[in-house]
Amino acid sequence: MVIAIGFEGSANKLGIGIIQDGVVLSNPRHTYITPPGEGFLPRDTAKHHREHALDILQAALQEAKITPEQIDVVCYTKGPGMGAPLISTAVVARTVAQLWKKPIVAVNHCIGHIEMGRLITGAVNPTVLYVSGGNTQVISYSEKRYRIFGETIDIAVGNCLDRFARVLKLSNDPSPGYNIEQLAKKGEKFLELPYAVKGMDVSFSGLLSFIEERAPVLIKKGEYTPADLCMSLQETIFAMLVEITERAMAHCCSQEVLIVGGVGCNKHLQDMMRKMAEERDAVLYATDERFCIDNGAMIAQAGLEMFKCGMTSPLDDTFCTQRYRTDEVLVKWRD
Amino acid sequence: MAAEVIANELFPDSTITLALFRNVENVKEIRQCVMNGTFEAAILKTSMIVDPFQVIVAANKAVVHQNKVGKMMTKNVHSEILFNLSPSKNISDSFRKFGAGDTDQSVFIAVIDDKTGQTLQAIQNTVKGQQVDVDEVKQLSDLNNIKKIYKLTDAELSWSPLDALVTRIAAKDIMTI
Amino acid sequence: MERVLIKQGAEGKLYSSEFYGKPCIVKERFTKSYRHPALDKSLTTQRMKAEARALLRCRMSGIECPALYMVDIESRCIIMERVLNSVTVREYTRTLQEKDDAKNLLSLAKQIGEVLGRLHSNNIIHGDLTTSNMLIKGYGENSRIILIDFGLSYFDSVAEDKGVDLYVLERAFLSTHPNTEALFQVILDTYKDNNKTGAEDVMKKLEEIRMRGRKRTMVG
Repeated sequence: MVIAIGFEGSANKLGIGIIQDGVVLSNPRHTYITPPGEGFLPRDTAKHHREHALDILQAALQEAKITPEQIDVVCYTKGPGMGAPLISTAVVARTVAQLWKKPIVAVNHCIGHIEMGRLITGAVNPTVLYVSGGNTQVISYSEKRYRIFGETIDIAVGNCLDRFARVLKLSNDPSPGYNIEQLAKKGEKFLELPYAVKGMDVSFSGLLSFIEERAPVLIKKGEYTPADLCMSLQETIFAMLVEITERAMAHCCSQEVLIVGGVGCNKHLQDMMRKMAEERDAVLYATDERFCIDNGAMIAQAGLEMFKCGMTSPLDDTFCTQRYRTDEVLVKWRD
Repeated sequence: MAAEVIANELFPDSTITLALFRNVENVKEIRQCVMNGTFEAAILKTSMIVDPFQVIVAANKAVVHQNKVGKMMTKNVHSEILFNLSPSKNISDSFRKFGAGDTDQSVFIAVIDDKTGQTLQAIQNTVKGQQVDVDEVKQLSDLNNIKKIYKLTDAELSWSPLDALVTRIAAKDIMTI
Repeated sequence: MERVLIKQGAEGKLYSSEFYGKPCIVKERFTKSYRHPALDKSLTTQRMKAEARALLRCRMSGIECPALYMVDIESRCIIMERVLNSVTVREYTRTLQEKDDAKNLLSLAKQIGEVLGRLHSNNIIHGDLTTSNMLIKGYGENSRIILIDFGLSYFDSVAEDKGVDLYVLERAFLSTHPNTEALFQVILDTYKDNNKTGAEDVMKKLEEIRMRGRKRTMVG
């Protein structure tokens, strides 16, 4: 009956969650939302995390009806992510771990997403599409590693969406991607955009430059509405993601696909992926915004798995790192 | 020596008939028969052909285009074969270079859908020459001229002129060069 | 036309057949229902054209590839030569590794480097280089490499694109054939000799692209 608490703050979401043997006891979260047209900067994000950390921690404990004594392990996001926010979150984790005299586990953010996805959906050995503001990877488990089959060779798909939302000055509340998704539903006219799949990898920066340049002109001339452009952007980038996922599935002969990460909340992406899966007699697994978007429980879950294998870190090793590849971690807990 | 009657791979009811004649005295007359509609056929210049397969690929493409709306570039399926053989998009140039010339001494014939064999019969009756095996066209090819007109590279020639030619015929409408 | 299904990939189906007596492959691309119809049509057409153009251009440049027999955009079919008595480089590499045939592995790596050098010096970007997209005919000293699957290809002189081409192969190669880092280096070294004017820039780009994977600040 192991209870783990997880601390996540690698980007603009601060989440602290508690898990007990595969059951999420609490998972509160607060997002740092910037005004429309602006992205979030490390220093301000770190400040936001510091300001909300104790409230969220208290909420997590209260909702779970757990006392610190009952917690067995403290888990935190080691990386990848933005430096200052990561550190400000890690400081809280380290502090409580020392206060409560609990072992610490340093967790890879991407693996947090994967393990949470597997827990919630029950997918056994899926091809994973991990898509967020900072990451775009197609991952498949093999011999104790989450191997990266395909990824973006430049920017992440979420980043592409966020930046386009800024061009259109869409609100960042609840997230730019969500607002693009809603607006896209009203889109009717399809604009052909550069489609860049390179082998198993994808590239978004060319596409982004293309649409960033043309959008203002096209809208002004009345040739395309913002909704049309949102629709066209989604259709194109999601098709690219589905394509590389399908290629990985064909390569690995996999019959399960799991989407994790903030962009995974997008229902249209899920629909497209489901269609592809069905055509291959495969199954799509997806979670909702509680778990797609960065959260503390996912760190607790991955941390729990690691804890059970003895993968704790002495205090000196509990640093953070902005760069942390998914395949760097030894996945001891799987066969 | 018999002509070859081949079933079309994609349209099973359609046929391609091939025939080769050497020591021909009356190419001009044969061409006139086609021009005044006595019979319908493609009268090809043998020196531009390296293998019957080259003609088959061009003929196959002509039949495929014939079955699609607005895909043929020339007036009928037989002139389309000449056009398909040529690397040029200029129709008159294609006819000039790939159609048999009045002073030629051999002709390669291709006929589409000669169901009853009547056209072949009519041609055989008209031609003053010797009908031979279609494979003999290999002896009549002018590789130097073919190389020049198709702009074949040395690498292509060294492997297989036939493969080089059929690739060009198949890719012609896709290439912008 | 009698066809035997030999492979069903993500892109479409591959059939083995005969085209007027010549052994052939029929490549029939799927329509993908998950794509917007305009995107699907455009992509499929684009890829078929790319494949046809690349097959011609490779041949003209002295790079062995299948002969093209027919292209039908409306039915999304391409018919090309079926290369007989060949295996994929992927299978060949596995066989050589199983036999511990270092000599022929080395010679294979050199051949690959040579073909790619020539490909890039002719500004042809394959777009999907893997050991499954290369065939090898013959064995050892008398073998020849034949490139296939040009659906993602295009023509460009930019070093970045060539770097990406090699990067895609590197990742595919190393993940499919473990412990072959040294062999891959031989491919790159031979590549340099066969793309003398461009190789230096391409290698720089390759290094940059490799670093991007490791250096990318992954946020969110």
